[in-house]
Amino acid sequence: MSNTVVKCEKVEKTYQKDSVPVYALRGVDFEVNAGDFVSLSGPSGSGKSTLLNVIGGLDRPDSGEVTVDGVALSGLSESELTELRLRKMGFVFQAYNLIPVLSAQENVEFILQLQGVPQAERRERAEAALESLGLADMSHRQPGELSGGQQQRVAIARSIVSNPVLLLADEPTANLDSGTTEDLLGLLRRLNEQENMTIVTATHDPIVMSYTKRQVHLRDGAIERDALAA
Amino acid sequence: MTSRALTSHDTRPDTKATVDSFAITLMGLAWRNLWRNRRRTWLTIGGVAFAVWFLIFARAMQEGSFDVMIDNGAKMMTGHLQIQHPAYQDDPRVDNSFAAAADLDAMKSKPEVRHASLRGQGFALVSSEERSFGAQIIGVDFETEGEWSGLKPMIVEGNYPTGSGQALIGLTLARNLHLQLGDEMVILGTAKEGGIAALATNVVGIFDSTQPEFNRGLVQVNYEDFREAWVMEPGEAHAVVVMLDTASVGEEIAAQYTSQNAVLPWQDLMPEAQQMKEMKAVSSEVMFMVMTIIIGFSVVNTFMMVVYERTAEFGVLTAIGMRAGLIRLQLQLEGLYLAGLGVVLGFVLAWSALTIIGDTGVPIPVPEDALDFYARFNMGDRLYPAFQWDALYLSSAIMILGVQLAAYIPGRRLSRMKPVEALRQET
Ligand SMILES: Nc1ncnc2c1ncn2[C@@H]1O[C@H](COP(=O)(O)OP(=O)(O)OP(=O)(O)O)[C@@H](O)[C@H]1O
Ligand SMILES: [Mg+2]
Repeated sequence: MSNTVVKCEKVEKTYQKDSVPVYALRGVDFEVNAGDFVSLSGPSGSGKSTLLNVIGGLDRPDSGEVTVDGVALSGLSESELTELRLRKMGFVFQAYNLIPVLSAQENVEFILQLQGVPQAERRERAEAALESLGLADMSHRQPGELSGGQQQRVAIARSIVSNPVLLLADEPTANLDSGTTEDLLGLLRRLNEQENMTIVTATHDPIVMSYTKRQVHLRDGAIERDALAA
Repeated sequence: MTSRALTSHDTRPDTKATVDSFAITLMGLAWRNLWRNRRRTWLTIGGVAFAVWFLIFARAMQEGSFDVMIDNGAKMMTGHLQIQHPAYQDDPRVDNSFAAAADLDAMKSKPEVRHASLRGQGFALVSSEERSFGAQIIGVDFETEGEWSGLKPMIVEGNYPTGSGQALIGLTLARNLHLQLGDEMVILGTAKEGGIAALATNVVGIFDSTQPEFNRGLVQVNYEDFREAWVMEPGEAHAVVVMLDTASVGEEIAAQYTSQNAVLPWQDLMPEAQQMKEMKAVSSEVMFMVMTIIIGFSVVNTFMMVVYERTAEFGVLTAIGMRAGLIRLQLQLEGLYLAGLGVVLGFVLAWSALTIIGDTGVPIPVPEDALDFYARFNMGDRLYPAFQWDALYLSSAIMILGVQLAAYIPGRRLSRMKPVEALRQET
């Protein structure tokens, strides 16, 4: 089964920094299939975040096309992109993922609420998602009462509760110690293997790469290496 | 292998009920966000409250000082309200009198009415043994008007009259006629229907008012003396003169009371006082506006800072699929709560302050050397602030709109930003 979830064709992105062009992405061709678990690695400034952002429709490429689950992003307005993220993608960032005034459970339910899922179903699904990430006991805590690793797990619970076709994570473990990092990666791997969740994560960390099925290495805005794990 | 992930994206927002419940969530979210930084929130609420308090309080004091001014005018001459023959205001002839007993009784029975009595009015020649001058003669009920008359404290010689045959006259007139206390003064005028009105009186009081024309040409005599001299029926008068609890109810009473005669509140009797009040109101309204806008600006500024600081957080919210419109709605709600709380607090503070000092009044700050002057001219040494709804409406409108604008501007900036730009914003 090779169902293409993400397709990037000749994606270019240039920033101006002090009127000097910075080539963040130089004609990247990149595909992600359903069930993939991909790490994007590379030196700082190589374009990992930029690539994730254009895939997620948080930023627009200067040229080229990004297609997510068959939808070409260039044809969508900002609010259509937001809607697409709501329906099809989950996001986990390095920090500040959660709404600080909502409890873990409320944070997870919030996505379903945006989707218009009825309350009873919302509760059930949020509880299930939290439980599957080992957070059943913490569901009523505010983000400020959770450790960094717990917060990231809640963020993952939130990003998968709506059953997205794609989970995008930008250095989700950057603020975590190695033990917690491995816990989190274990969870991501299980999601990928058991739920067939398609995951793309940017990282510096060799531990993360060791958990992913496929490692894509970027340098200077281009893909230098794209390898499946042995 | 399950492929749950690939079949899930057909979830649709369904019923209206869920939309409503989201509105509730959004309101709750806005409310909780308000209290993330308690100190700053209270500062902002305090700013709004202060502006509202200030506007209400200043307006109340201003209205109170208008009341003092109007009361002084009313006590000097016109009263708070008069009932007259419909033609008398434009054509104050002796013939334009009316049978006033029913109106007098009606006025006396009103709870807001403190004093009501009859007056007869006409122009006449007043003479001493040596000289004659023209003057306005007012026949008043000394017993009733003695309770409130502003001329009474201005008497410099003798006393306020109490009965038949007595007269109160202005100082200049007394000098001009070479009249002393106890001297006889003869009044000759044109009675109703062309007859002759003649009245002999004793000067029992001489007043010195701020108004030269009163000093020169005003004479008060007993109403019954006047009525007989001017050949009027019992109960016939040129005016029912009424003093109220406060000047501010005058218009309302005039509007409620139906009579075939003219019911004139002080606004009609003292048009110049009304004009002055309006002029003062406009100029101080401008001052209030400026004050409110200055305070409003710091409130707006604080709130905008708060919103800017949360830019990255809003970036995350857009990233996870919250439309910019909803984020902005949430901001507007936060602003509404903030301004609403401030308005309520400011109103409560102003209301309590006005209730506390409303009954006792506040001393009018009078310069030491002017005390005598104030006492002499019956200015009263206290003013009673009077709550004005318009001040509440105006201040809450400015504050609520201001804070809405403070939410709108960064909100608009936010929805023009690409999510990455918002995310990259330092927190
Ligand atoms: N808004 C921007 N303005 C100017 N230059 C930018 C902007 N965003 C990214 N860049 C530049 O584009 C290049 C790629 O940035 P990107 O954030 O994608 O790198 P990265 O691989 O994620 O790096 P890191 O590992 O540090 O997160 C960098 O040189 C960066 O400086
Ligand atoms: Mg990055």
